[in-house]
Amino acid sequence: MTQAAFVVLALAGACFAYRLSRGPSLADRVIGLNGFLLVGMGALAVHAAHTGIGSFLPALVALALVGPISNGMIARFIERLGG
Amino acid sequence: MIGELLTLIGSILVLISALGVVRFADPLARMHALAKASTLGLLLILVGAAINLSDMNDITSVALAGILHILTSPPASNMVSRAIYLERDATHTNDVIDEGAVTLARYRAGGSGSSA
Amino acid sequence: MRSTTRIVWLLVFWLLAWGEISAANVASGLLLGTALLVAFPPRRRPTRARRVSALGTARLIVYVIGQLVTSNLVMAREILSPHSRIRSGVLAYQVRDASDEVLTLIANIIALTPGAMTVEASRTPAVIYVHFLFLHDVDEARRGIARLERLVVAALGGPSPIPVDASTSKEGST
Repeated sequence: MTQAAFVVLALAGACFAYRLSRGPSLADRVIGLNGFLLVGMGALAVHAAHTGIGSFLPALVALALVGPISNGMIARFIERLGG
Repeated sequence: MIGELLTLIGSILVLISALGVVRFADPLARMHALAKASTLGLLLILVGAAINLSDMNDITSVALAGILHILTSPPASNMVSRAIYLERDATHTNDVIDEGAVTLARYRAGGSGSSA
Repeated sequence: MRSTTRIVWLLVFWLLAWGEISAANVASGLLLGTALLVAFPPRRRPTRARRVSALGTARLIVYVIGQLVTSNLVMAREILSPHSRIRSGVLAYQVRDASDEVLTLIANIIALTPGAMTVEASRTPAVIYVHFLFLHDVDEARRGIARLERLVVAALGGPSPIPVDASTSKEGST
């Protein structure tokens, strides 16, 4: 079942990668990047649960903290570009 | 077993939101699809992982990541949505009603007195 | 929030990060929390203290979890079904209790409710602009936000720091 979770996450990553590369607007790419971050966090957690090794879990905490900050900064950037 | 099932359900929620991000035509609709699943989907994955892990230190790390994610994810979605809303071309939307148009015009004119 | 409460919260996060409750961890966490509060003193706001209600908070949490699950189901149906039900629109909602806490909580919880997303908020006047994906019934959408506002105000409790005019003040809560 863990393998299935990995496959599902990989498919989701492919969808987000499509949106990230295609755009069309900067905001769409932000959404794609955001989804990529989500898939990465999910994969880290699934990997830890699968192998029982928790050495990557601090990276999960760091991503949960830093990811939204980057989001906010890009959002401000978009607003400045247009306004 | 239950942990693995929760992980799988969470992953499927993430996949559904990814399909929505690809399918929807409007950036705001895409943001909707991502924002909903990113909270519950990742939360389910984390809970499933926490059930499967045995080391106390690992479980607290997962719990911390989950708490931080719930606290930080909605504001981030709001900020990106705000950027999309303020910057989109108002003439090309399918919105049936837009009560924020007046504020939007004021923002475009440069007199923004608002904060997100 | 009093500074002891803040230090306790910082300590909780510190212990979660270390994953172990030991004398050294508690001591270092307390020290670090105090140092952080001294280095970055929280801004004092002229609002009156609120009395957070435990029952109201529990009710709000249950409501948010319910909304989170239904929003995922609604979104999954929209994504997986072949024909679109999308009818998007932006509504302005006047928040009656115009304090920062209430405004922040409402704006962020709306991001988790089915088909709704805050796109803009202003403090004076306290108005939030909410983008709805399935705006088939405008009044129903407004009632949803009003329900959320009542729950948030009930959870945070306490008096409204800014007086509201009597004509639009709250009706009897359910």
